[in-house]
Amino acid sequence: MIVQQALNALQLGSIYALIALGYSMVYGVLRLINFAHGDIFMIGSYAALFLAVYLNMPIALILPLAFCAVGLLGVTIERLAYRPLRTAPRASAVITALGVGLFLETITLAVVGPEPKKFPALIDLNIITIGAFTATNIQIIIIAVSIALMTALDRLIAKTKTGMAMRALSWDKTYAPLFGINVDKIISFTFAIGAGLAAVAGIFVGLAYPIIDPYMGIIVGWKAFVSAVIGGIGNVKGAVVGGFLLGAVEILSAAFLPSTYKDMIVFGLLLIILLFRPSGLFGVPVQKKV
Amino acid sequence: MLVIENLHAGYGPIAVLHGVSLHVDEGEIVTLIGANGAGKSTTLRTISRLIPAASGTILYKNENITRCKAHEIARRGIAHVPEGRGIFGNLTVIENLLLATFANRTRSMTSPVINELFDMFPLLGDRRRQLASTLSGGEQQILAIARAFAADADFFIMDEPSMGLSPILVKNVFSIIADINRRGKTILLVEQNAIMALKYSNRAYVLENGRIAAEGRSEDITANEELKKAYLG
Ligand SMILES: Nc1ncnc2c1ncn2[C@@H]1O[C@H](COP(=O)(O)OP(=O)(O)O)[C@@H](O)[C@H]1O
Ligand SMILES: [Mg+2]
Repeated sequence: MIVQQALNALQLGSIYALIALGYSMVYGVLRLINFAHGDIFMIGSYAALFLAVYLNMPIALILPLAFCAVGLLGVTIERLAYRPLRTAPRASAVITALGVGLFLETITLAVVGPEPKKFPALIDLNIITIGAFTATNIQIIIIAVSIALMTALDRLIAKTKTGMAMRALSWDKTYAPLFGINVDKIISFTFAIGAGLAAVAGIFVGLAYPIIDPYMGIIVGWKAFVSAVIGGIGNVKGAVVGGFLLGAVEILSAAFLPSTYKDMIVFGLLLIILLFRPSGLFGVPVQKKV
Repeated sequence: MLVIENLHAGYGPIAVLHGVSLHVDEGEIVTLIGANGAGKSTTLRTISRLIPAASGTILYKNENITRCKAHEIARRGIAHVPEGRGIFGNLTVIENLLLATFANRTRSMTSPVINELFDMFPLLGDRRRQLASTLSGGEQQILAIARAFAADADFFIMDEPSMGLSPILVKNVFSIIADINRRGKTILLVEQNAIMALKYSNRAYVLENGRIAAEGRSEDITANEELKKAYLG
């Protein structure tokens, strides 16, 4: 029972964390809260549905393809909607982001209709039992792939030149080009990775809770955003910790309280943490260069 | 090596440079002096394309780079050490150096290259794993110069490298500049500390309200009583 709930929490936390990473990375390089990100996650789910139902693809192909296709969508959104506003007040960019999100929702609505769709069973469900310990293969796959992706991202940011450039941009964008950094390219790359990870989360949601609809990105997107803020927005490790924390809190409260309390507790947690740590758990108080 | 002709530039509607022409030959140290607000930093920013030129041309190694993007100019071997140093405080010292190699893809920061840098700048070697924001002002300036070196640039443009440093550190920075020059680098230097800059440079230009008001060999400028009164205090 406890193991079961822990796995549920890890599964949900993985999904929040994958989405939260995109919020946090984009905020890091652009100081923009990409409110379209939850809808990008939703598009990831539908992209996978399309690849599975119409092109009969297996999950092993769907994951990388949806990652790339939705990554490209993220790059396109940045290029068309956010780049022209890069020097505009941040409020304009945030409003644009909300607009892009609504656009993605309405276009999905127009194409697939409002009724929820059954997400195909891309993986045959198996229950794994070891002694008193039971888990589903889907849970294990979701948690393992998520952790692998997060580890890869962590290595990329810590060790590669591109990762260093991403961190450098979060400190200062004006001077970055003086060192040969193509700022536009790094920002595009950040959007690609963020959107790609959200697409993977979209697929995982389809696998774990197999009903999807065009509005699924709203509440999940908000919770992932809350995860990013709790962890300290702009901080990649914070986004992961925030995601898992939120997953755990949500599963715990659902286990002991009426289900209507769940979201109240999640958002209450945000308020309490921000009260004591306004920059989130891992955030550094804003005290940049002079 | 660098030839600027009739350069006009500014910030949006504000025109700052009104037809600046100057040149720097290979192997030289050239100083640009002038009062606060004369447009010295603006000249350097236009060369490295942090701001666009409104008109005029900038030739580097006989190629027109006026319309290149800033990162392309860096990759051509021009390193701009900006006013206020522009180091990345959230990266370690060694990461700041590694990052600079973005400007030169053929040069990977293998240990011999790193070691050479730390031989040149031993102080940075001791602090290699430290966040750059924890360095003192003088150390940050040295890091900023070392970074240009890590990029393997041929042409250094330096904006007030001695700013905010104690007299002993100022001397240290100037001897580093001389050392870099001996290693074959060409340098365009902007300095508040004009006397010191003239002592170390071959030639100088005096910038006044966005125009070149005087130019000549550094010792002639130093000897010119009129200029001395106006600019050298
Ligand atoms: N970012 C900017 N926006 C608008 N005007 C600026 C900016 N930076 C500098 N200026 C103006 O351009 C002029 C030249 O500045 P600058 O090149 O920094 O002078 P210097 O380096 O010679 O002290 C000044 O009048 C200054 O106010
Ligand atoms: Mg200046």
